[in-house]
Amino acid sequence: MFGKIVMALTASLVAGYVYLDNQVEVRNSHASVTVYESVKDLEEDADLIIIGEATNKTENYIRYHEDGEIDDYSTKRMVKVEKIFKNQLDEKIAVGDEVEVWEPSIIVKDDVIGKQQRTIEGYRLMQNKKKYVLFLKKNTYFNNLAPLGVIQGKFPLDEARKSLHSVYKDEFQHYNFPEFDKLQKEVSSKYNIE
Amino acid sequence: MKKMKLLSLLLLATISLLSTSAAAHDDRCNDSSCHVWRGGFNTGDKVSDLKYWLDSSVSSNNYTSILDFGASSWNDISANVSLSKVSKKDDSQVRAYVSYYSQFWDGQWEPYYTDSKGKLSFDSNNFEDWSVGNIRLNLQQIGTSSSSFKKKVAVHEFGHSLSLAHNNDDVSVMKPGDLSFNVPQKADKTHLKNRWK
Repeated sequence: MFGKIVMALTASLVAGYVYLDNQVEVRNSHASVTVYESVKDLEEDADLIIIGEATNKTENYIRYHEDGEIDDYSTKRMVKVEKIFKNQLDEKIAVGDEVEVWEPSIIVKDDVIGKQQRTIEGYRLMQNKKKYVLFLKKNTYFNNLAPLGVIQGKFPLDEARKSLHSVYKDEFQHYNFPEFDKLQKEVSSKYNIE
Repeated sequence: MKKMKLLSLLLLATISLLSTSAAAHDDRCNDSSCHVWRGGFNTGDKVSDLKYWLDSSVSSNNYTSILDFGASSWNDISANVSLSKVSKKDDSQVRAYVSYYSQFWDGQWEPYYTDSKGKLSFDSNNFEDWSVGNIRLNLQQIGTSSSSFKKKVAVHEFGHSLSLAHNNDDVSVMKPGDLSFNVPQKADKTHLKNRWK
């Protein structure tokens, strides 16, 4: 009996540790962004429009102020291209290639602050093996590709790729931008996702 | 076996308690429509004498008049709200920076409060009593925009520093995106006065 109690206690402690270790304090910044009211506006402003599968190949970019505060950040993530709708970049991209997308969020972990996610306007990081419709623009200063309007250039697809709606609702419901409902319907319709 | 069940229940209860305490801290709004935040420079007489400071990146990129416009646009609306510029960072509550950033946003507001350990902590819920805050303008996104739009972004970000949230319901300078005006509108003035009675 004593052994079982010790085992249960150990399991509880391990589970508790794993739970706490996976807890991420989310620090969300408010940003003023361009509001895209139609898919046409997104398409015009995008340099690259693809459906891609996110990978877990990531790297953090962080720039600090002199006083140590984080000033700028992104997660660089490789995304495997599955379909190309528009490419106005100088370089050619083919289906099967991987492109580096800079996402407006990072997860940082250290002994002082613990595990922390910094994000802008509630942006959620792409997940490994999940598929997304991406409206990307080239940042001319950093020469990187990033989603248009922070949160408006990335539309998650569900596993079956039959419906965008449910995952979209889950991801965007807290943004309180009424334009997003219209946007997702237009993206669904235009890109034959539903 | 009963003890194991009890331990499991205890673990679940602990997890549930942790989850609840994390989620409970989400009452960010100070009004029913959420046009103003509970978080702000609430203590002392800060908003009646709010000091802002411009980083050297502001003048080197010729954004001094843009940011001064952004601050002064909120003066003379309420007797309880006044923004003035100081030359020393340590004397200020609102700090403004201009730079190129890796993402496509125009401007950003990041408030910090002093936590129980005396450390500055980021207030992502816009719920706390702020000590300082940073305004950032993004040259990548607005560098080639009209002067009028740059001013709108500056006014909008200073509006956040006065606890005004995004407002998609009214004609408001706190609505995100490009607008035909760049100064506080009737609704903005009403919300400002109500917030700082």
